[in-house]
Amino acid sequence: MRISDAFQAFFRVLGGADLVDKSTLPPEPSTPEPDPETAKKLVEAEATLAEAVASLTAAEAAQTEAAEVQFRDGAVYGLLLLQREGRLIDFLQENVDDYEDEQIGAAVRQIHRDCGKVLQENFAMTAIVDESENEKTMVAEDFDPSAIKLTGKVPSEPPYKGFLRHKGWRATKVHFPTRSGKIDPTVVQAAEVEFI
Amino acid sequence: MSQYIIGIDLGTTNIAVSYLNAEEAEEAVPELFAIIQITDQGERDKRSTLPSFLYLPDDKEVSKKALDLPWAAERDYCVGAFARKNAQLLPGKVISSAKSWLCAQNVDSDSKILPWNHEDPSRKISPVTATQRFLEHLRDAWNDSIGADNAKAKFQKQDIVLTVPASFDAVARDMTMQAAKKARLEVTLLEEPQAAFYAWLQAHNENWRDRVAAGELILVCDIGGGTTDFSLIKVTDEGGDLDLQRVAVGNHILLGGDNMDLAMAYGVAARLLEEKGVKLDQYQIAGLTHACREAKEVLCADANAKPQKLTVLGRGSSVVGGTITTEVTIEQMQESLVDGFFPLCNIDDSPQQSTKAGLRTFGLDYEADPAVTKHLAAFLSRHGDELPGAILFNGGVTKANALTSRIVETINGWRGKKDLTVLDGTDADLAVAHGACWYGNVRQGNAIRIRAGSAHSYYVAIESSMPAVPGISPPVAALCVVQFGMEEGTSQEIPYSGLGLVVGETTDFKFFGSADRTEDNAGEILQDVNRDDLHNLPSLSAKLPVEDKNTPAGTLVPVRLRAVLSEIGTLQLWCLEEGGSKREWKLEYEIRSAEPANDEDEEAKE
Repeated sequence: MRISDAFQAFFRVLGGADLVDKSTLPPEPSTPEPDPETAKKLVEAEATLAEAVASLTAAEAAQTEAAEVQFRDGAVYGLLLLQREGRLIDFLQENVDDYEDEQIGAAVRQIHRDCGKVLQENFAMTAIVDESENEKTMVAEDFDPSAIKLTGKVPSEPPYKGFLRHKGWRATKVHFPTRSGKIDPTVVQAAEVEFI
Repeated sequence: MSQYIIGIDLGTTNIAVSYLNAEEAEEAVPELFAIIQITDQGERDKRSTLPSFLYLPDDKEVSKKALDLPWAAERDYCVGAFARKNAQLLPGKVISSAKSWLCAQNVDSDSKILPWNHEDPSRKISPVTATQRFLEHLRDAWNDSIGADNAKAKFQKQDIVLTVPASFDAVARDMTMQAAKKARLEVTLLEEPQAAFYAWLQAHNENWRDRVAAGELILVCDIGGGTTDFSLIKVTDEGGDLDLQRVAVGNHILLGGDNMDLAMAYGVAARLLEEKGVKLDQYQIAGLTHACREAKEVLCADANAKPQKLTVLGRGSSVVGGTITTEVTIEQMQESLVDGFFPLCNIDDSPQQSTKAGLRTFGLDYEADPAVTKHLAAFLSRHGDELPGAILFNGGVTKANALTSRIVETINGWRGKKDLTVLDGTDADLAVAHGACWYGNVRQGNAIRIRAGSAHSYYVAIESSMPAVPGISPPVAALCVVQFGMEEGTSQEIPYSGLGLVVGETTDFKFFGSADRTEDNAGEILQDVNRDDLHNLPSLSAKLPVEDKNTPAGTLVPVRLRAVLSEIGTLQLWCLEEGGSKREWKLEYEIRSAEPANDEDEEAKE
């Protein structure tokens, strides 16, 4: 069942509440048995509700799965951009044990420059605390612990005055080109065959 | 009134689009339109320019729907970044420099000839169609974003100014207009150097009059990726107010920044082979060219720059192992670029002509002499003794200080004093698009207009009358129909009788143009048409219908010619019947059959 269908079913139940009037609600222990007509309506309403809940769960699962696929494809796509523009995967996959530092350095200089462009253009990488490292810094009272990690003898109360050991990095945007057509999302670099 | 004014710089290697809100046109600074385009297989993104490349893949080369755009399903071609990427890897499948083909002298720009080396003739398209595709892409990309809001904002409803090289003659302009028309656009043409100058006028809107003097001659030196374009603008005094007039344009010079990057790369490649025994393949040369371009920018900007490392990464997955590295010093750059392309020379020097072999392959007529300064000397010499007192640079190459200062040094040498003024304040990459936008404003009467006449003179061939000599065809002379400087938006009758059209048959006139002959008047006869300063244009033809009994088929009808030069520099020639019923017939450009030129070879084999 598609998500939209599930929602339709759910809202049908909500919207259909008026046909299930108060008398169809589960009986109070003290009240007498409902008449057969009402009982039938009640059973039907419960069935519809159960069906809607089931389809919502399925929709949620489908949605989660879609999000996971999107997340997975996005992660691979990030690698693709670093490889295509900066040859990063080639570099990491290569066994560099036998090369002289000079040879590695020559390649790295270029890879470094090209990958840096990708980080800027596609992720707008910026420092979280844009101050000099190993200098004193003040952490705001309402800091976000996922963005700033306190270490050492952390005071129990503000002010949080410490030394900036790492300024942190944040992707201030994620800009990916739009993809369409029949593209295998697991490909990071297509194999290339030349005809001469 | 349209909602926007749009300026399109239809460059040989890159296309830029800028726009202004028409209501705020007087104050607003043009904005650049980011163009959505295919950036890779199945991937699209916005970029500030659209590379002027068109990729025509075979079915198997790309995945299904991989070239689709929001407005186009099942596309079998693409323009822009991905096409440029493939230009080196798949040279036979990618069209580049389509614009230069529009004015190529030995081919017909309306026949299906591109990509020149494509193996499948059925996939080839004409330079006009390629230009049409670029314009359609701009139209659709705009209508998918800005133009999506309302019907009034649609691209085709806007006031569009499209720039062309000043060297484009009436036929090339006509071809450009045809491409625009096929893309269902109405455009106004503007010469690129003029557009760059308009951008300068806009940048100094308040005080440009303080920066130039009456009587001064200004050189616009536009060196783009693939072409170099010169124009001269004269500052005149009209009753106390300064006026501007474009007085000369250069020929189409197929020489630009790409040649310089390539020259540097081939120089380095030769040195690698000599010193290290390393031979680079096409892919590596492409990588090296890219590295050279980056090194050039650093070396040209700073006279004390350190030697620049050039790195070509391995092509296969072994990126470190395959890496080749070398460096280029400022002296080497000086030798290959500054002295190679901008040698100091005399004002009476002229570029070396290639010795044309008897059998030449068709193709673009690349310059035989890479010396930009010699082309400049020849251009200035052709247009009188006066030398420019100010210069406006435009085009990506002119961002390099080392190169522009050499040009200034050369002109100062010719002037005999060091006083050439460099006009600044424009963006060398975007001035043409911005200036084109500003021109939309100028046309509404809000800013000063550069007056410009015809930059070319035009001629039709006529047979000289002489006694018939068996075995010798009568010599052909050229009748001037449009003189240099003829005002755009005017028409004139040619004071020459003696032309005749045969009723019921097609009469062809050979047609010539010249950017160099500035002294001929309409109606004058030039005795010899085989001269360097005349170039061939497509023939003109007229067919007179058999209409009445008084003039049966085969009758010779005496006619005069009338030339109509439009506002945008396109030309119409009319035949006017002398006496009789005073009928008029338009002469049409004779476009040869739409067959690829190299099909002839195949026919010959059969």
